[in-house]
Amino acid sequence: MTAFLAIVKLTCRSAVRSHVFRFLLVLLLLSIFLLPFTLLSDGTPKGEVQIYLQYCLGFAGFILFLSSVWLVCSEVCSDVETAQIHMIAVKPVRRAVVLLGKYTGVVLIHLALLLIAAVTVYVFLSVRLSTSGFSEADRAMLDEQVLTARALYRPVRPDFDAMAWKRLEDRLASAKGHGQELLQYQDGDVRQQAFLEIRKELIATYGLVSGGDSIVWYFEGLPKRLNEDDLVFLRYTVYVNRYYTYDQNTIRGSWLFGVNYTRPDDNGGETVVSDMIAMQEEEILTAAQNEMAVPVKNTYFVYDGKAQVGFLNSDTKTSELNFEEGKGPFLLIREAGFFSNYCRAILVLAIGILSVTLLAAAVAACMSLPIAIFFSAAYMLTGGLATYLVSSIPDAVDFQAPYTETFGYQYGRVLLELLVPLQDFFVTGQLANGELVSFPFIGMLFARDFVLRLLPIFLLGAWIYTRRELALVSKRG
Amino acid sequence: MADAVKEQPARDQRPVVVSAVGLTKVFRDFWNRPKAKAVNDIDFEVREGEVVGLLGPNGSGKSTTVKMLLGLLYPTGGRLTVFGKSPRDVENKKLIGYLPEETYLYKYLTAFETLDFFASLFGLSKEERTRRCDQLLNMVGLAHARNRPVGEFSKGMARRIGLAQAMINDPSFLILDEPTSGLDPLGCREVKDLIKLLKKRGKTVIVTSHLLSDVEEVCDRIIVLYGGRIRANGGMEELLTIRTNDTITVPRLPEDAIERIRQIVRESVPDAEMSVAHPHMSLEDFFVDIVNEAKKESLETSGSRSGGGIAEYLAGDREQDAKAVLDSLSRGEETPAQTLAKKMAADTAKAAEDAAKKRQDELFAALQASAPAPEEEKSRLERQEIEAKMSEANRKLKDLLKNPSDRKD
Repeated sequence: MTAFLAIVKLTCRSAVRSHVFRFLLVLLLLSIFLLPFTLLSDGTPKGEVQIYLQYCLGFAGFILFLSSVWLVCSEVCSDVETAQIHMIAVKPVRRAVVLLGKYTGVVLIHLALLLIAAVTVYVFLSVRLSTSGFSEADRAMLDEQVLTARALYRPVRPDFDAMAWKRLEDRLASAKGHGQELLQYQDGDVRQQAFLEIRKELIATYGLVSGGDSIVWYFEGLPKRLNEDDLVFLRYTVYVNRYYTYDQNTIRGSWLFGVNYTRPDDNGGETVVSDMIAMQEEEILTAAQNEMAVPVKNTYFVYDGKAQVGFLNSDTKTSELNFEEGKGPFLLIREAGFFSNYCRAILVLAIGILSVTLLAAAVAACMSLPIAIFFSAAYMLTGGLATYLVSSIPDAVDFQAPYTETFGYQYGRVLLELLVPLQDFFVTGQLANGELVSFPFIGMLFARDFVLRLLPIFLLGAWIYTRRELALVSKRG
Repeated sequence: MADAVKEQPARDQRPVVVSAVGLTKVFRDFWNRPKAKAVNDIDFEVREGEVVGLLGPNGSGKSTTVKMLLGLLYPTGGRLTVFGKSPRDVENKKLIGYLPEETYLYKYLTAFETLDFFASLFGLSKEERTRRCDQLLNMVGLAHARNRPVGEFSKGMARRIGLAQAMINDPSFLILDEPTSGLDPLGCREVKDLIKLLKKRGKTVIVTSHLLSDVEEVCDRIIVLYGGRIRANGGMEELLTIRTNDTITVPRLPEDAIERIRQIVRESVPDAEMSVAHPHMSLEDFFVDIVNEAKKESLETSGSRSGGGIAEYLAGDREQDAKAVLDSLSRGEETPAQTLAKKMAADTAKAAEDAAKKRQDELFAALQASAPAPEEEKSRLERQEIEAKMSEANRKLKDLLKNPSDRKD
C-alpha cells in the first residue's frame, strides 16, 4: 500500500508540472469563467440558465476528459520511453500496481478538478439567478422546467407488426368483397413482401396528422401515486410536412388529454370512465421545442400509471403536421430537486473520467504516447459515430432497406456493443432541460461501460504491461 | 586467457546468488526476424559475498545481461535465476539494489523526496524512510542539498543520489552499472570503499565498468564478455598475476647496493631484462591527499561534498556480526564437504605462504650480504631499525604480489 500511495502521489505531482495539463487547466477556467459571457442565449431566462448548465459544465467535462486521456498516456508512456520505469520496475512492486497507481493519481486529480468546476458553476448560477432580476413568472418557469429533475416518459410504440397484418387482411377482405380473389397474397414471399410494404408505410406515416385529423399517444409506467400539487409537463416538437425542416412556422391545433374518473354503476359500485377532453385551439410554433403544463389535474390525467394525450390538427390549410418519433410528445413528472440532479450529472461526468482514463491507461500500457492518445480518442469518437449510424438509419430494421443501409446499421450496432460512446457521459443537456438523471441510468452506465466494456480492456492492458520487456522500449538506456 | 579459469573449490560452497546456464538473448525486428544476438549461450555463477566485475567493450552484452538479471529483458534461451528464482519474481527484488548506467530521476523531486519515493517502493515505514534517507544523503555527501530538486544536480551529484537509492533497502545483491561514472576522484574512492565494505558484510555485488582500475581494485572475480560470449571468467589473482616475473620493493638503496642486486639477478637469470625504478603513488591517492588537506583548511565547495561515512544501517552492527560468526561456528553447521574444502584451501594457502616466505628470506639474506660494510660498526639499535624497514618492505612486497597493477618493469 505504501508503494501504491507513493506512485499515486508522484503521479499527481508530475501531473501538475505538465505543460499540456496546465494549458488544459487554463482552458477549463476559461470555459467556466468566460463562456457564459461569450455565448449568446436565445434571450429567454431558460436559455440563459441553460448556458451554464449545458455548455459551461459540458465543456468543462470535455476538457477534463481530454486532459485525463493525455495525462495518463503521458504518465505511463513517458516513464517507459525515458527508462525511468527501470528505477521502479527493479523494486519490489508489481507492474500492475504501478499502472493502477498512475491511473489512480490521474483520476484523483481530475475528480478534484471536476469538483472544483462543479462547485464554481453552481455558485455562478446561483449568483446569476439572484442578481438577474427575472420576473416571478420567469422564476416559476425556471423552477418548474429547468431547475428541477423530471422523469421523462415516452409514448408506447404501436405494434406495427400487428397493425400491418391487420391492414393486409382488411385489404384482402375488401378486395374479396369487390370480387377479386388475390390468391398470390394468401401465403409465401408475395404475402410477406406485402406485409413489409404495409409495415413500412405505417412507420413512415406514424406521427403524421393531416389537417382536420387527430392522433392519440398512450403512456404507460407513470408513477401511480402522484401528489395533487405535482405538475405533469408535455414536451413536443412538431414539424410541417413529412420531412422535417428547421424553418419555423405557426400552425393551429388543440391538445387532447385523457381523463379518468369514477361513476356509480348499476350494481351500486363504481366504474372507471375514460374520456378525452380537448383544450382550446392555440397557435403552435413548429420546429421548436415546446413545453406546457398539462392543464388537467394529475389525479384525473394519470390513472393506474397510464395516460393518453392527443392532438387535433385544426389547421386545414397546411398539408400535414409531423410528430417525429424521437421528438415527442413526452410527459415529464418531477421526481427530485435540482441540486440532487446536478450532483447526479456530476457523478456521470465522474464515471466518464474514470472510464476514459481507464481506457487510456490500458492503451498506454502497451503502446507509445502518440499511438495511445490517438487510439483512445479514436475509440471514443468511433463510439459516437456508431451512435450516429444507428440513430440515422432507424428504419433499417423495420423494412427491407438497401444493403448499404442495413450494413451501416448493423455495423453501428456491433460497434455500440463493443465501444463506449463519449456522449454517453454528457448528460448536461438533460440537466439543462430539467430531465432527471436517474440512478438506474447511472448504474447502467457504470456497469455496462466501466465494468463490462472498459475494465476487461484495462486488465488486458495491465497484463501486457506486466509481460512487457520494458528495456526494449526505452529510447534511453 | 580465452579459456575460463575454474573457480576455487572453497568458493563453490557458498550459496549461488546468480546462475546463468546457456543464457541467450536475441533481439528481433518488427517482423520477429532475428536482428542481433546480444548474449550468446553464456554460463556463469555468482556466489554469495562475491564482488564480480562484468567487463567488455561496448556492445559485448554486459548491459543486456544486467537487464536480464533485473527482469527488464527476458532471455530468449537458457535459464537464469537470481536467488534461485526468476529475475521477474517481485519478492526477490526486495534483496536487490540497482544503480543504472544513467540515473533516471524525477527532476522535480528533491534529493530527500527522491530517496523517500524509492524507499516507499520497498514498503518502509515513514520513520524508517526518513532515517535511511538522512543517513544515505549524509553518506553520499548530499546532506546540504537535501531540499534541492535533483533536476538541478550535476551529473556527479545525480550519480550519488542514484547510488543512494540503490542502497535504500540495504540489498543483499547489488548491481552497479558504471558506478564511478561521472564521479570525482573522491566520489570514486568512496564508492570503492563502499563496495569493499559491502563485500565485508557478505553482500554480493556485480559491477560493470570501463574503468578497469576500479574493477581491479574492488572485484574478486571478473567475467569478460565479447560478442555476447564469455571470454574469461575467473579470480582476479589467477587471471592477472604474471607468474614469470617478480617485483621487489625495498627502501631507497645506494647505487652500489642496486648494482650488487643486479649482479645477483644476472647470475641467477643471465638473459633477464631488468629495470629499477622508484614506485610512485596513484594519481587518485595523490588527489585524495590534496583534497583531504584542503578539507582540513575548511575550503567550501558548492557541489557534492565527500561522504560523511557509511550509513549506519549499511555499516551493520559489528558486535552483532561477530556474534553471528561465533554462532555460526558453534552451531557446527559445516558439511564434511565444506570442512574438506576449507582444509584444502588452508593447506594451499599455507604452502603458498611458506614458499613466499622462503623466497623472501633468500632475498633478505642476499640484501643483507650486499649491505655496505662494516656491519660491526652499526649498533644493535640501528640493525633493529633496518630490520623493521625490511619487514615493512616485505609487507609492501606481499601487497604488490597481490596487486600486480603496481608492478614496474
